[in-house]
Amino acid sequence: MSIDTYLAQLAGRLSVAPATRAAILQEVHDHLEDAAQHRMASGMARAEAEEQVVAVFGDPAEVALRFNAVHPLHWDRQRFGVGILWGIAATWTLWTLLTYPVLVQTATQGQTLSSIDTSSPWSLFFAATPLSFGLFSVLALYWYWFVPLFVLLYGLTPFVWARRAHHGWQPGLAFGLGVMLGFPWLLPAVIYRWQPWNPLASLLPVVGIWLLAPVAVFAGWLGYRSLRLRPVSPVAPRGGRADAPSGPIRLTRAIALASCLVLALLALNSWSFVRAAGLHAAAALPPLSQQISAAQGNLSFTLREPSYVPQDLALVSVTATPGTCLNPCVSLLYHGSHGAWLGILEIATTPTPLPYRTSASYQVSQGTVGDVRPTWWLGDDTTMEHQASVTWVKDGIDFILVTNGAVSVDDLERVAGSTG
Amino acid sequence: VRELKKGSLHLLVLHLLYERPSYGWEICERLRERSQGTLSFEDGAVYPLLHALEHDGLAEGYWETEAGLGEDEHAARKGARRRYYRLTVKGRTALRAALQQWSTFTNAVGRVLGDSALAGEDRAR
Repeated sequence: MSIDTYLAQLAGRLSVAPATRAAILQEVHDHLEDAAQHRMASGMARAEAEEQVVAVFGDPAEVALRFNAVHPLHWDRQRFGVGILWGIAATWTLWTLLTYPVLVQTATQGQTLSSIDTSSPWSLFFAATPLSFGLFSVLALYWYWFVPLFVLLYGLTPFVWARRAHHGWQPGLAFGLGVMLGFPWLLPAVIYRWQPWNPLASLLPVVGIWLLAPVAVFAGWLGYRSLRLRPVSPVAPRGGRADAPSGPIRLTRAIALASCLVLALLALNSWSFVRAAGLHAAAALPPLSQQISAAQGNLSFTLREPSYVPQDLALVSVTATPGTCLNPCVSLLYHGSHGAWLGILEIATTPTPLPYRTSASYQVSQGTVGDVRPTWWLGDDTTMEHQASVTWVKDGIDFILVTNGAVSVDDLERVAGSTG
Repeated sequence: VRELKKGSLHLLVLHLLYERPSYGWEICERLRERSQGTLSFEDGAVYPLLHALEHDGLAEGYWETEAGLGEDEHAARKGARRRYYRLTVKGRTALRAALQQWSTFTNAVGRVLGDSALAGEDRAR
């Protein structure tokens, strides 16, 4: 390694004030130059002399760590502010890059919430940013094992940062505050979407994200504590020159590992992007007649279509995927203008009795649909993302009719009456 | 004991600076020459130590431009700027304390080794 390369590596690892950095580099440069001149005076070639003097000087990473320990950066307000901004940037980058593959995978498996637009890779990418809240539910319901992995990866940044800055809790705290500020709309949104019947689900985003802040502080502290400088040994190395550096601090290896991790993450996201692009094409449905006959093949009862639907609604899909319900079931989805939609789910009542929610927070009313008395559920159930539903049982089939509220109650009654 | 081992460089550098103001490369060379190659630290360990001494007020550093060939004609580059360090009053006090500690340590080690050596000789007889 040449003197210039050595100085460049040392400069890259120094985490000190600019003036101190310049003084250190000047001093080290003078030393290496003196030592090289000394060797060249005894007939050694310059390249060999430079290689020897940098080897005797020691591992640049460890030398930098020793200097960093002597000149720890003062964490004033400005540096702390930069730390918070860095935390916000890292929050957005990490959150998006880590969750996008998860979101694409859930979309591929049909587990994504209906509020998430899967029509293009970019809309899914937007849903993976901290702007989207649907992801919390997806993670909690299907990918709970992902959370510890996410926390681990998230803790790496303040861990490395604290080591580099040679500080304990300050980098972690700044990063943690950045995490909290990266989601400034989190608390208001949770209050707005508060579900008293399910407080855990309501608090999940807040708890999940804010817990990352103490994790960041702890990781920063751990990073600082992991700094262990190799004791200076007074024993002469064999051959009269220093051996290859072998200290416990292997920043070069850590950087290589982090680079591999970032590359793997980018590759995973690229692959997910390609998968998301194919998702829309794969979602293209066959003609309705084929859908209906395919669905009927998976059912133990005769599929019922309503003879009446409001004028602007049209049947767009019929799905009867085995395993999606406890019992054989089929769903009919109608779309209309201005985002109106209506769905009919038909489930065989046997062999497993179906549980229904009886939360008092819903407005329940009774009406008559043909010769059966259905149960109405009217409200703002944002978890299920519908505002009205009606259920009834007839001929061994449970009917559940749901809509996002864009269909009038009268129309719903007519649809229900014409279905059974 | 471990601290004393780790602190041996600290003691040696303080002593060399007590003898005369010096700069990093010269200190490393003097260490090697005086110990006839037995004591050889990585040069990169000396500079942070010098900075720590300065930070703690035990030494003070100053830049000086080399006017011509010095004592070591190979080392002295004409016109080169070097950062010299000299011991402060506080540094002399620290050196005295460090020497006292080192003396206590080496005496204790010597006493222990002496007893062991005698016991070994007895067993051999």
